[in-house]
Amino acid sequence: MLMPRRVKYRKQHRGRMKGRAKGGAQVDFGEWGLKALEPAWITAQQIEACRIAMMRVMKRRGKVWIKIFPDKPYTKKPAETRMGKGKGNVEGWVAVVKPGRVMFEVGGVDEEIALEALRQAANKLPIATKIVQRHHLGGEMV
Amino acid sequence: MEMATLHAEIRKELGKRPVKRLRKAGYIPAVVYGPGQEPISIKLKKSEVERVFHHITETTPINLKIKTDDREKELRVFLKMVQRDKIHDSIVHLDFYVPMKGHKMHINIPVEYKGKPIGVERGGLLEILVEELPVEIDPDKIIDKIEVDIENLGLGESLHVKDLDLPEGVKPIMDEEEVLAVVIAPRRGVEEEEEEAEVVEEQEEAQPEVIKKGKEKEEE
Repeated sequence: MLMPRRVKYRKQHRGRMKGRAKGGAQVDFGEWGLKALEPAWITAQQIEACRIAMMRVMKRRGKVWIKIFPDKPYTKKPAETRMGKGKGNVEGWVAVVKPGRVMFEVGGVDEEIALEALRQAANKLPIATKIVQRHHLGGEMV
Repeated sequence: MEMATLHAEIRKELGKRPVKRLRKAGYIPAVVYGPGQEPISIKLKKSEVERVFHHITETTPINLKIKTDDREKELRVFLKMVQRDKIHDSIVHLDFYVPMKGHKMHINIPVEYKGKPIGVERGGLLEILVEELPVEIDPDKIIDKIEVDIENLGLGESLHVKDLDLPEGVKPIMDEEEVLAVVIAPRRGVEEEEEEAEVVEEQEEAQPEVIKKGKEKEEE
């Protein structure tokens, strides 16, 4: 499962997921990408499930890029515990995803396979997504 | 070289709110600038831009007809920048560049890779890293695209900027050693990867190391 090797602090505040993705909103490496349409915490387990689902479709062809990384720890208090006594234990790691973010990219395979792989990955995610294609038009994209 | 034509009007709506209203009315805000050209704020009809956009690149010269109060001004421009909506992918803003004679311009020229590399036939995967090459070029010598033959690329071999046969007057802004395309060796089987993932899962549960503060390190 993906998670950082070293961290500065063990636990983090939850934060807010206002606004749209600041960067990573276009297909940069592959030919097709899966774009988030809603904000969410995507867990390391969900990212791994997506990766395996895509690999199953693509077999040994093409390449997959995972453009999000779960670098935020989330905590949980044990069951039947009274409130207080400090923050809970770290339960897992999540990637904060905002609308517009391209989470996965696929390249080097036929359109049919790429679309099916991304569709399978989308099924593993808790948010609405859409499949986008790389812009081939000239001009610097912003 | 193919030339596209676009019609524009002078834009008096400036700032976030007026421009938002402009977009709702079916226009795209844009700006025209260049070394010998004062910036002009313009607006274009969205329907016209979308029709033309399917077959132009940054190297396509555009004949921009700007309508002012009583007359029409014609400019030969190039598309410099496209801003898109992050969710809907619709065009939000355009930048047009007016070149000046004798003044070199920076432009991204599309690279067309021709042929099927030998490495791909042997099971490798062609990864294209650069689809548009940034170059310094004279406005009169602009070329549509750069064609590269990649048939001889073997497994694990790559094509560098220095390998390109560029016409005279075209100077790449990238480093000579920069890789444009590479044929990657085939990966291991899917089953192996999945097994590996399971092994990793078992090993985990370990938490990341917490970086200690500088002072404590010094004490140690």
